[in-house]
Amino acid sequence: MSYQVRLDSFEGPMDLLFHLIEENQLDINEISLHKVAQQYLEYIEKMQEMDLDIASEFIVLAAELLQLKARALLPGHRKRKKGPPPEPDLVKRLLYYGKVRRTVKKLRTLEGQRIKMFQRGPDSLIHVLETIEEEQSPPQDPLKGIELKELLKAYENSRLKAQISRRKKTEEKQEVYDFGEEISTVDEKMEEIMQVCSKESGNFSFKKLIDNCKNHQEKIVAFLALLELVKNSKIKIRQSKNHNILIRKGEV
Amino acid sequence: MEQKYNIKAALEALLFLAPEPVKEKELEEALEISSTKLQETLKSLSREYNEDPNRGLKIENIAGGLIVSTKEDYAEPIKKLYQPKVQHRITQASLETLAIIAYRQPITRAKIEEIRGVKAEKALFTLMKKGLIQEVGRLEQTGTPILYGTTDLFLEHFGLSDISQLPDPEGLMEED
Repeated sequence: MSYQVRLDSFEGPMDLLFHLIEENQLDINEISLHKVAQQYLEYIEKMQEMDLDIASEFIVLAAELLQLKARALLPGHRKRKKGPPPEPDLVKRLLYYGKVRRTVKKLRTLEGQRIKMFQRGPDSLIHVLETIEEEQSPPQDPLKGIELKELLKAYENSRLKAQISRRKKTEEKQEVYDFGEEISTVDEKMEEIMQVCSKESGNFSFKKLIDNCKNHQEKIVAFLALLELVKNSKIKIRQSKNHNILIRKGEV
Repeated sequence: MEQKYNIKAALEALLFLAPEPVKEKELEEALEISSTKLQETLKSLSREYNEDPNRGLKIENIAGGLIVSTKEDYAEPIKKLYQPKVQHRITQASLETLAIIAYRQPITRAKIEEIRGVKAEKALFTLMKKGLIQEVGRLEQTGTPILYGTTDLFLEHFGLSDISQLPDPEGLMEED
């Protein structure tokens, strides 16, 4: 065989078929498919010889090619209908695949241009903003007189402490998971809210509850806990005239 | 209304800091100017940058927003000085899949596989991970297959202002 086999470079059967048609400088039509069918089959045979796992897709396409060829050999098959025979589905698919490939080439060109252009990333913005802030208020060095060595030591110490305390907390569990900051559960939060309610005896504001939360997760948990408590009529909620939302212990 | 500052200079400042494409609406609000005024200022500023060979920057309309980029001629010295994070090109298999999605979205995996004649799972996974495509819904038919579409990052990757700016579709959008 005179053609070069580049086994790994084909993305799939369509890619291979397209390559064969291009290599033989044929147009995409039924006749070309007949012409390259033999080469396609030889290619698959070669793959088998080399003990390559042939993906089922290659076999499916081979069967399609053989079917086309067989049909063309049947006498009288084409005369049944007037006018030119309809294009086989495979031809249509191959034509479309050709369009995809040409588009891919254009996208590649665009990508190539794009790769040479650079933009300011989000990081640089933060940097600039920090400088602006520094300029506005005279800089005060909170670490004045502290050596870098001491700082590193302190950091290392606190890191170890944190690690130890985290380990203690999860001792019962087999594995240590790092969930970042600890978040209280809805149940815990519900209890917390009830405690505050009994302590405050009167109303306390929703804003206070949310403001006391350390992060977004905790805010969400607190909100869910609140809804749960309202549902169970453990607490009551009302809105004051100045739009404050007030929480009060419900009558059980 | 009297302006406190030079609008064109202010616009330049805003665009200079933009970490990602800024929407025109956002610029109008920040500068407290009308859409017409923004267009006018933008046009004049863009012309100054984009057409003047003595400028290394240009103002572009990408993914529905405006951003300042360096002109492509200066990639070499930029790389030399800043060693920017290497942006990987998309592989052939992924790019074929991406092209099909871009022109035919929303589209199911089965349809992509039918066109390419090969499994698309891996390509879809890679494209998802890179944030170039996303799930845009489910097709209402048996199995409710996922429909895929492209993201803003896709537009940014190829420097397109919107999906209609894709290179000559050659009938790629039509049903084959």
